[in-house]
Amino acid sequence: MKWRYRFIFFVFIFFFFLILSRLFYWQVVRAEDLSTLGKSQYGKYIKLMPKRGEIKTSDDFSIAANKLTYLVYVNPKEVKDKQKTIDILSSVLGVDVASASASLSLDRFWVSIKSKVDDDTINKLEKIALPGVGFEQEYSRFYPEASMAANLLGIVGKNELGDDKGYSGLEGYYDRQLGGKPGISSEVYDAFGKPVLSRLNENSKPIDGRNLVSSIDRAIQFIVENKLKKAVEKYGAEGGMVGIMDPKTGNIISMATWPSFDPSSYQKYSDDLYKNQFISNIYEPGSTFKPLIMASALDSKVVKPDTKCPICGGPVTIYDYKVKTWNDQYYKDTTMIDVIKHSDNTGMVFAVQSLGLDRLLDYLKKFGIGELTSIDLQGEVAPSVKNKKDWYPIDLATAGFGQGISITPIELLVGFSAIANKGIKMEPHVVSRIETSSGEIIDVNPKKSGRVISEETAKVMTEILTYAVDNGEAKWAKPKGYRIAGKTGTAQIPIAGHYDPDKTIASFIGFAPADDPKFSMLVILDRPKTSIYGSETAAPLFFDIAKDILTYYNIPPSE
Amino acid sequence: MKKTFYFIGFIVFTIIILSILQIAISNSLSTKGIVLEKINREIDGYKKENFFLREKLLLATSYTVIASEASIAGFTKEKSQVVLTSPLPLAIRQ
Repeated sequence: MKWRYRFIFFVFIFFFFLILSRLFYWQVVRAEDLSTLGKSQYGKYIKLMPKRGEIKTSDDFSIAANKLTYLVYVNPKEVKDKQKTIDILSSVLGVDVASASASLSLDRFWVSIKSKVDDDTINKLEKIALPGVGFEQEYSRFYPEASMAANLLGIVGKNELGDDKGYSGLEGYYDRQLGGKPGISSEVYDAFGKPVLSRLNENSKPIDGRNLVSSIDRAIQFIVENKLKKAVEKYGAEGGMVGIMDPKTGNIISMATWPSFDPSSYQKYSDDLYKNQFISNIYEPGSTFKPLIMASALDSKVVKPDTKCPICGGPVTIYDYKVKTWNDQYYKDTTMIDVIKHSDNTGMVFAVQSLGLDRLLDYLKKFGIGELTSIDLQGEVAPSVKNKKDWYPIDLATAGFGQGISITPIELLVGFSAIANKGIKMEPHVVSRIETSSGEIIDVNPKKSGRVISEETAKVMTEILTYAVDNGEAKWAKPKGYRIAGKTGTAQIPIAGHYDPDKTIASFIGFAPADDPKFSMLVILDRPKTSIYGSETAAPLFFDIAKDILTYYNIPPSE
Repeated sequence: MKKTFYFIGFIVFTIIILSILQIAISNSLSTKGIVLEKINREIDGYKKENFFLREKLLLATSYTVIASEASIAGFTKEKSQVVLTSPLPLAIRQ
């Protein structure tokens, strides 16, 4: 008899553990799934999107603002006359009939029909008063200055969740600051699945995005973009770019590229145009690189301004290569001052060979060549400088005149601006102030990257560059009465292991006024056709813009 | 005994008055929701109008629009700088 009791006992124990394990499965293993299922039956959470922060120029004008638009939605269960609703929606909103029909056939309480609808269209719809059709307020990006600074601003697209997200430029770099924080609203359903009430907790209100105030001068940006566009057309170039910086603070005053695009309808343009070429285009700088090399040579005292070049009487031979000047003119015993004035490649070979590879690499690093400038724009690239062991004598020689070395325009502008700022390199930045939604102001202070050359070397280099502008190939274009320091550049374009004989990147880099620089500027024209030389294309554009900036800043002539 | 009686009476009286006051205030507030809703709607209307006016203002003060309208109006002359480095004659006898 005893075994019967034991048997029953173990049967009970067995079923007990069976139930226990099943409970464990549902309450522990599947707990989250059941909780989510329960919540979805009970109600749902709706994300309340905040207003995106605006981007302003230095005069507090919003060049990327928000405008009030509407999202039109439909509750298919409340639509009385489906065909009539489809016809009206497609005629008023311009949506596809098939798409509207498909939306109205869905078994849902809320279906989006069209977003970014303007107020006039909504007023028309309101008058018609279609049952089941409603609209929600939303914000869309609006550009009062049209395509001004489009590459600098970037674009606002959507992420995988369908929320606004910034890509490239300022919109991309500061996306989290601009995007704000969404709020949460809970919606409760009744037993039939219909929403019964909506409540908003104080803690879940959306927090609007922060506004960015940039250092971009709207007037200068407008002038630069107009003149750049005209110059590209005048010189038959493929494109062009201009960057202007305050060398003392690193503030970016203007940055323009052409061709550009309209950020409010960016989908119509090729992806290539979204890129800000000034921070992402890699090119060989040519003669505009010479001031950095000469400054390095002067700073390390391997040459002086009046040092005579012993190898400049003719082309310089380095193994199988011959280095010539751009115009095949040679100046025996030329000084370093005249090397820059004549843009003499042989003189630069002498200077860079005197400097040596170790010191060259050291100075390139100090000038920021081969490294990101840390500018606050998304999309910056920085091609690295070759390892020391990969350098050949010809590489050292060509680096002296800016060929065989690849950089971005922003790297060159920032490095060159150190000469204008008494030898101190500043970190470039576009945003100078951030405004929070609660009214707090966060200043972005100038940041020193470090001393590159001594103040004395910077002064000497400034005089050499001023002399070059006054007496060099581009002197005819220079505005009278002003001391401007600068250098022309006519760089060959590498194609499949050799250089294109007919096409060049024409450029000019400089700063003004030379004695107390208010701005430094780099102008680049890509493959101009009327002339391949920087002195005849980029230099006139530089001086044309510089003249207007000097007038705008009320800087009187000093000569 | 009398003091206790007056004290209790005072408390009861206060309670009755406060209750009547509460009923009166609640009654008065109960219809304020409609007024509040009307004011909120007006505020929303003004906010919306502000938005649209701001949009117009930004467009009206945009350099792109001003330059375009100036060009239509005939303001196209380019200025050039002239730097006087020496005295110039007023007239030259032919």
